[in-house]
Amino acid sequence: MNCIGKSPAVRAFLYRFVAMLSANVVIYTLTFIAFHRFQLRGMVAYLLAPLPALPIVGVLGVFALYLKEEQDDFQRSIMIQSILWSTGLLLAATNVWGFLEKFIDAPRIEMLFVFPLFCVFWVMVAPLVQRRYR
Amino acid sequence: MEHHTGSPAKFKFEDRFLFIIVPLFVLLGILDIWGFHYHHLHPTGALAYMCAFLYSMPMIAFIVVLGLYLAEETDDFMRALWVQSILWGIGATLAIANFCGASARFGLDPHLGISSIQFVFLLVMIFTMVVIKLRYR
Repeated sequence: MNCIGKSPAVRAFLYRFVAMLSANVVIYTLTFIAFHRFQLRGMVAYLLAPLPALPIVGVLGVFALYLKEEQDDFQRSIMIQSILWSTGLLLAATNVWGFLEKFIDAPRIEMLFVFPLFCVFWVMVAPLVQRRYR
Repeated sequence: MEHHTGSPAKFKFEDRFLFIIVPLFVLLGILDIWGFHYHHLHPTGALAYMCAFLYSMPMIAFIVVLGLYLAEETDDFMRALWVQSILWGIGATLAIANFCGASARFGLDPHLGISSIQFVFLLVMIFTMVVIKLRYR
């Protein structure tokens, strides 16, 4: 994948990103099993339910670490621009969809899909931003 | 008396905010009160789609105006300040969305819809901007 570069910071970013997503899958599966097997309720349920979100918060930390560790100002600038574009697209998309839910009873999108949507936008936008500087 | 000077990009940002976004908010506020609360209109079909897109306009306009400001701003410090605020804003928003989403998936409903994303983002962004500005005083 040429578009993401090969600096040590990028490699560290990719390893951490994959590790966090894998952790997400494992924790989600374990939480799912716990909820279905033990029919959790009350305080325990409130403590366990948000657990699968922790690795996603970790992913955000991975982005922050990359921005801190990247020595190449150009690469950092590309990452920041990609995040800014993705943020704009995510806010616009969720805003439009929110009003579609209100006015035409469009299917409700779960909050859990907000982060994957952001990632989709980021994956789409990053190569385009990189291509601008070729 | 303290005098604040701004860059041309900041003036443009303020002008666009005042003359595009504020009138849009006012117009939609009037439409909301007059149409949906006073006359209890229930648009359907293409009109409903149009209403949905019309109501999204202020936020989309804000995103575009902010993007233009970031592209035009020549003061690196000011740009960095906005960029940091946006990054914290989106980070916190995604974290909160995930916590709410995960809680909802397991039967705990935190009563946050997808349309609340932008409010969370704006709140965190403004809060971060104030904190960063205080840090650099």
